[in-house]
Amino acid sequence: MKDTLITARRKRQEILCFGICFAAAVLVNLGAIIFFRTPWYELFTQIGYTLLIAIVFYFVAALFRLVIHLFRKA
Amino acid sequence: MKQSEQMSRKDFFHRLGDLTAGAAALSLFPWLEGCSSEKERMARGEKARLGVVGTGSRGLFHLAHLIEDPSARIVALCDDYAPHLEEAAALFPEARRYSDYRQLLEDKEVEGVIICTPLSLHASMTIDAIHAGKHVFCEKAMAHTQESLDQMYHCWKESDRVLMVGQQRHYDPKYIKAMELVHGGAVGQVVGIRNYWYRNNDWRRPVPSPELEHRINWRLYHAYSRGLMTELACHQLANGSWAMDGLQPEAVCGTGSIQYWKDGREVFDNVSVVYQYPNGVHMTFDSILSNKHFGMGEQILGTEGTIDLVRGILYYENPPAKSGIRQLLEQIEQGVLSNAVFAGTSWAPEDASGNAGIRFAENVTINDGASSVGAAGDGSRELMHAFCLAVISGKQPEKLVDEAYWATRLALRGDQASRERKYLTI
Repeated sequence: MKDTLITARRKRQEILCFGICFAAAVLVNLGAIIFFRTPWYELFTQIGYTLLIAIVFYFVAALFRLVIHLFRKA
Repeated sequence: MKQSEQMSRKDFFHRLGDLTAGAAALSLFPWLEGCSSEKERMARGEKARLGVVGTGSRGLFHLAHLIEDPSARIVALCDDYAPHLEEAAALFPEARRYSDYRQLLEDKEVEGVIICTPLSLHASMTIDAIHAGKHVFCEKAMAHTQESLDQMYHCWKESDRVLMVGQQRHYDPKYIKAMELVHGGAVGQVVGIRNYWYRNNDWRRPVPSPELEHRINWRLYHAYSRGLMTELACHQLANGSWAMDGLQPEAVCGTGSIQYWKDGREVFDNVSVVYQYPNGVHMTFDSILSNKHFGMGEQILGTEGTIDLVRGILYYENPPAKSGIRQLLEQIEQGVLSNAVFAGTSWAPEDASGNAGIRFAENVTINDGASSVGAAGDGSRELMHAFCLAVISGKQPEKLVDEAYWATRLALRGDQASRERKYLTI
């Protein structure tokens, strides 16, 4: 098995990507709070669900990026 | 003290001690005072010397608890049916054996008598035992007729003896917790009490020879029993007065029939009875012996919630809403967003059971109803232990006989109403 190198640029890219996903998840939570008229403190108390949704978004984004990468390579 | 005895006491403390610790619980359920840790300490090392009259299935059920109880010593056994007596004697070989209960009552060593005979014998045997100076535990229901019930009650009232009746729900931690919730206002104002008991079996015991039919299957004949009302309803009707804080129904109407088990029995195989309280609240009891799907249910219905006593669950009428994000995820999961409804049916079943409720009791065992003897964890063990402590201390648990008296009275009146198909005052 060969060693792999993750560059600082790549790390920044992934952190940024996850940050965008997390922000999107927070927006989903915010939308749900407004739509279902639930308390604002759910922005903090439901952080577990927000993180879960952020991870799902991140994996969906990764899949999308992989498809783009494969197209470009072809 | 042996290790097993220490463990046994610890177990009793765990199940009952926690409940009796609170002053609130004792004021609501004064009979639990007899099981307080103080009483336990007083009784430590002492044993109630007991005699059991009636060693059939129910007698053996109690004996199975007493054999493990550090406060009990079985000194005498009595049954006029030899196979039952031998079965019990095998568990307690050192106990003296009698075939006539009057001989057992003359036994000076016996302090307390446990009566597990057919219903028609409860009152006369209890009265004889009290007159013989014994403390008595009598299986429910208390009596077969209103007259014998009153005689039994007054005989006890005029004596200084302990009387306890087999209404084991009064010692079942799950029911005690439920009633604490009801009296604490968790369900709001009580507006209804719903009881049902459905089984799918003939309620018969195997009979070795035809002449023993009435002795063994006494539950099926009017001369010995009032059928479903005294054998099953009696337990559930006690919940009503418990939940209504002593208020008793003023009227009852009902009906019943033998619709399926047409095997020579005299008691109904299905009944439906409604009791009315002075404040307009109704308590129902339904029973069918030819369908078991819904099993057993006892529910206290209030303006703010419902308590399912059997399953130990509290359902609020308006449960706290789930968080917005959970509602959103559930809607996505159920596909509501992709299946927009443009027109609904003109009628749809009303059902609030989407509410999962809050479980307030742990280790709830749901039985399939196949056994008509008793079920594990139903409070019988605690009840037997409480009787032992009462025999040792000579102190009558408060309110308990009155609760049992009313449960029997309601059962007898309900039976009368269903047989006569009348609306009767109580």
